[in-house]
Amino acid sequence: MFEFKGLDDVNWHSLHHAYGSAEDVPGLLRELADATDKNSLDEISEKFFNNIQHQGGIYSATAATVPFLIQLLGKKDFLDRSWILGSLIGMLESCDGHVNYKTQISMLKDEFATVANIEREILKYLACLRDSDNTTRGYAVYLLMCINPKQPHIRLKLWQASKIETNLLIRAAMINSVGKLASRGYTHSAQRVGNQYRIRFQIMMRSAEEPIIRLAAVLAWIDSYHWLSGDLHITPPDVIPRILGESLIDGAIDVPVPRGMVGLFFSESQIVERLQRLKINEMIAALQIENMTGKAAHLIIREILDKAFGRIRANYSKTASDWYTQWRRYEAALFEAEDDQHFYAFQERTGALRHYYVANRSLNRFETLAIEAIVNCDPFWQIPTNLFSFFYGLPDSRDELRALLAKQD
Amino acid sequence: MFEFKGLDQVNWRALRDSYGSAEHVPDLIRDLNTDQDHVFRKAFDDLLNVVNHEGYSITDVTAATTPFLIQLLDKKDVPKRAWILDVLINFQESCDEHTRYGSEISESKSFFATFIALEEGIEKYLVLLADPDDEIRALSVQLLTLLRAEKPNVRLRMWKASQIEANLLIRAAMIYGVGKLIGNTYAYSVKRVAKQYRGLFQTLLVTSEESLIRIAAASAWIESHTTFFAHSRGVPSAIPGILCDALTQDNAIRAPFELRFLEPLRDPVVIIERLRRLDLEGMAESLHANSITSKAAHLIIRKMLDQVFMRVRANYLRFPYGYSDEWKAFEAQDNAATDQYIYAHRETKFSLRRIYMPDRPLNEREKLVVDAIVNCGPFWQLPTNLFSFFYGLPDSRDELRALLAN
Repeated sequence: MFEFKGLDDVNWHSLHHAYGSAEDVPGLLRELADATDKNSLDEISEKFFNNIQHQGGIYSATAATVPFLIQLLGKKDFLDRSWILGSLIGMLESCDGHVNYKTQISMLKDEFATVANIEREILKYLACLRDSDNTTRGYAVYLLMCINPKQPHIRLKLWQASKIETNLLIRAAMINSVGKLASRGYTHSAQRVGNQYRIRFQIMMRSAEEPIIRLAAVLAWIDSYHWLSGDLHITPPDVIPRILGESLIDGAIDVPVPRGMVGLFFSESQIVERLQRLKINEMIAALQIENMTGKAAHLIIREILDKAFGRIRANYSKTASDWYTQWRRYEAALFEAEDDQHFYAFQERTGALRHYYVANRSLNRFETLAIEAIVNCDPFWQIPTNLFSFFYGLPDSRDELRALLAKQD
Repeated sequence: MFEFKGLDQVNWRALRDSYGSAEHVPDLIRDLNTDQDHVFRKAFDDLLNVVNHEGYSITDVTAATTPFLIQLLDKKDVPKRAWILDVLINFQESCDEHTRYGSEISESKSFFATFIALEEGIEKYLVLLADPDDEIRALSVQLLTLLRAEKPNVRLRMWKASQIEANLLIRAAMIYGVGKLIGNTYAYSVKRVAKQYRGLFQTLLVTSEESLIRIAAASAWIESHTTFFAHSRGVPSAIPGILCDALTQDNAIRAPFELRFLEPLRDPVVIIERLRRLDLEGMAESLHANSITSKAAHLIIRKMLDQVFMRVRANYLRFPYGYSDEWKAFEAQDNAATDQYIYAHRETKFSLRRIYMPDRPLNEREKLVVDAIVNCGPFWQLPTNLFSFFYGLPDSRDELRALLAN
């Protein structure tokens, strides 16, 4: 029988979860620890989470529970350690979500306590990088990425783990996460370390045989520049656009995905997001690879157009949390003509209208570059499109676009 | 001789302010330890420029500096002690502001650390409630309320301070603050305590001779309810009239110092929102107040109409406020296209049933509102076409009477 340290020292009665007093939490934790088969674990875990994280809620009991869930990671015969890591990831994501809708910092005490308790045991997650279960190792990488710690030894451990990792997807995820963690810290020493890692990523993106490792090195290189911010404002190594372009081709980076990790790393949207941080001419280079397909070309050209032109169609997020200016975020069902008007009025107010294409306006250098690349990209025209006119007021046919370019001359 | 405790125990070198390493911050803090006005002013400016750049940046250095600013409150001969409290209030407001705009929790750590550091000073702010300086007492109330301290002793001490407070404005702020503190607490045990405090507010409503104290007590009574929804039962009968008084009186709070905290007591938008929480009966009751003016009646009746009828004209508030059914949100530049959009949006939301149509009989709530309007004499002293403009209702008193008779 597993003994939790300090479980009875917590005043569970004074804490609460979705259904009131948290008195039942110690019992549920013990039941979890003692579960002998997967079915009973599933049953108890459902009840457990219904209480402490009901519909994404974070309560005082959630924060208090975290240290004991982490203790369970150390139980050798626990049925599913990846479940614990997945739960912690879920809590972190809920905490992030709550920051978006709570209006006073004092209302976020439980969230900060939960995050602090999760962050306190980083060494335990690092230990999980050596677990025999693929999903557990994958989740450990993802959790470390979510926590995004500053300490140098963590990225070093991840880097070392990547060298001996046998599962290709997890190895790639480890490399990518090192890049993300290297972006932390604005001190000179942090920047020096960032440079050192970027040299390693560069070597890897040129020399690795596996496409997914090359992609991971590219993403790591990009992410190592403050991964949450927008344009890179720096010239990337010339192989980066090519590798991003290649990775968007169906089947290019296919590797076996461990249980529960579909879409966690290296999804199409994650690749496109990084592509969007490059300059127009670099994005064009991604388009010009030999075996480009129609679908991949569409993904890249959307980003090129979004960078070169202001959209005339709605891209207003009704949740009011953000203005989405990305083509890939457009959802036809959500928008109507009236939304466009509102959006247009907003753009007018913010002075963004100069980016709009208007029939008799001459194109600037970037717009010309973008249209030229599109006109010259044969695979793109294999799939019909009316999105030039729909989103940007540009002509839709290749000949008309050619004529538009000729007019600029 | 005053000395900062623990100033050298902080690893300032590891912290970053707006300009780089925070190594120089301890010296800036030490410079505050002066009794010379001009020296203090300069030192204070220099420090704030670093720890709270342009009045809004909050970093780890802000959190690390906060305890020493709080220590400085102990020093009686600091030339501008009120400035310190003002800055602490600004820190707290910046933290709340940051939370409102949302971010990842990992990006909010400095804000939370600053908030926790501010909370550590609660005991000191409570002591300052008895300070001889009016401004210090007023700012302490404001800070304690902004911190939303849940501990029972905070509201109790604030309440006790209100009973001996000589300055009317500060007394009102204390009463109002107690109501806000109760309303911010969700614990079950607090419900019982809240009931007791509401009893005390109720006594003030009827016994206080000062209008501002009655307004503060009425506002505190409403704020002490955690829910934003309307309360139709158990509302003290004096509250609607008092809130109506608040609407009709001079809106300016005259204080020799800035007391932003009291503005909601006289802000018509906030008062109307409080009236809304009293439900239609409460709002109708407020129209019978002796002090009612036609302007106040218009404000209240607009709100009542908005509560029961769906507007047929645009009321679409753009980014970032989302939708609003408020009359006050109407913007003249909203055009027919916006109306269409609103209408279409409502259709999908099944809310068209709330739009008045000439042949549809009024329901009970609608009748209550129209009846209150028809019987409110002061309202009709100002001409209006807003019934037809916003709700498709008839504009004249007689037509509305006829509508009721039908």
